[in-house]
Amino acid sequence: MGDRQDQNERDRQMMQRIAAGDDAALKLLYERFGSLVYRMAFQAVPSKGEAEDAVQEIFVRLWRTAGRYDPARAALVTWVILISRRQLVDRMRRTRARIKPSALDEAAGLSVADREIPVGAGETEERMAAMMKKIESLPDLQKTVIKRAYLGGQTLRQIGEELNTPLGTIKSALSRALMRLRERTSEELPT
Amino acid sequence: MTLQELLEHAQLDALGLLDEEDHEPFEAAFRAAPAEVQGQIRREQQRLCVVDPLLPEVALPGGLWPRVQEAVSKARLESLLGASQAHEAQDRVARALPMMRSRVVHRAWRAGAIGFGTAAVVLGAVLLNVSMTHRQQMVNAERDARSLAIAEAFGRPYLSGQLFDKSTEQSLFVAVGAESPNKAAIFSNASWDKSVLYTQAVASRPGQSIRLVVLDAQGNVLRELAEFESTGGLVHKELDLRGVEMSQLALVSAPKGMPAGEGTVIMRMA
Repeated sequence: MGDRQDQNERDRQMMQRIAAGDDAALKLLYERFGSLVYRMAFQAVPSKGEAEDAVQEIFVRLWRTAGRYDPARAALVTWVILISRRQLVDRMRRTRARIKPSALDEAAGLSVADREIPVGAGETEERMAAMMKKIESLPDLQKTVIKRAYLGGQTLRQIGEELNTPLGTIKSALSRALMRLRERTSEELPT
Repeated sequence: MTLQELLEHAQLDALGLLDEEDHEPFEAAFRAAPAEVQGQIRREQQRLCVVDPLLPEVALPGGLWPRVQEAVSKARLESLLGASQAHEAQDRVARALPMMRSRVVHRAWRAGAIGFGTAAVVLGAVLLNVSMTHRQQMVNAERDARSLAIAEAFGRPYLSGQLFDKSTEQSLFVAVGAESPNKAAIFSNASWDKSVLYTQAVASRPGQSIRLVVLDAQGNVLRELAEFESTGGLVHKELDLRGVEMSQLALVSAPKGMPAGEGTVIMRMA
């Protein structure tokens, strides 16, 4: 327990140094989590070059939020993953804003081939195909919300406005959809 | 925020789907929540963040760190100056202070940069010196060329004497005909072997040439001393005029191949 507290304190100090502009601390963070961040980016975007750009954006965001890091809120690795996901989702929203939400609603038979799939991710393609099947089996609102949020790149507010549905309902629908998907894929996901 | 909403937000946050506007209320609700709820949220988010087995096995590109470092440095600068001024400031800094110390620069590169910088300064000074020397040489050459042109125009052996020797005599011609632009003069000096005739705007007509002649008291041509053609520019001719009475000299325009006496007097001595 003492070791964990020491590590938390070291992490907090490192993030404070990063917030203060210490490049050595930033490099420590990169050495610890650069690979993880890159693999997340590689999985989320369609090319190696975009993954590298995304990593830069993520570390900029980590620097921006470093001063707010609190070990009591989350372990550093969790914090890095949360920030990375936010940035990757933002990035996907920017690039997928072209997709018509109505097209997503109509795409009951949305195939994997219709989507942007990361380079060299054959296993991921299979997993996505299985996931799409599970999404199709969700109740209508949950299905619509999860498609618009994940595949359409819309914010929850945008979804609520377009569907003329209260924001709380959208959040609940998405949350329940995620829980249901998790239950149905529990054999694939680590616990 | 209810407990249910707090848990939903935690889940959405863990998946990166929480709207930007909801982050602060969620974080505030988390801080205000009882310790056991905070613990539950931490565990839930941690569970959703176990991603390693799902990620592709790809290696981190070797050259990515400098780009990350550069991106963060740029973001820092933008946050200090404001995004709109950042690019301009970067350009200014790059232009004005290329040698500024920065923690983002490796020592070896900085040392190399200082070396290159010193070399650049030295080279710059040498180039500046060469440039100034070259410019001065160009000025000198141009001046010399002008002087040479003047000297050539006015006759090199006689120019100094014309300008600075008070014993040099000037004999001016006047045009016959009030509207004529013709100008002519003869410079002579007892120390010179020859005198110098200058004409300007004395153009020879087609089929004719200009003759320098000696006239008698009645205006008849006694002797022809020189013949030349001109398009009206500056002409100088060196002539042996020893024994010639300057007041008797005149310029005549006469048909080529014909005696000057067949021509017309266009200028006389003043």
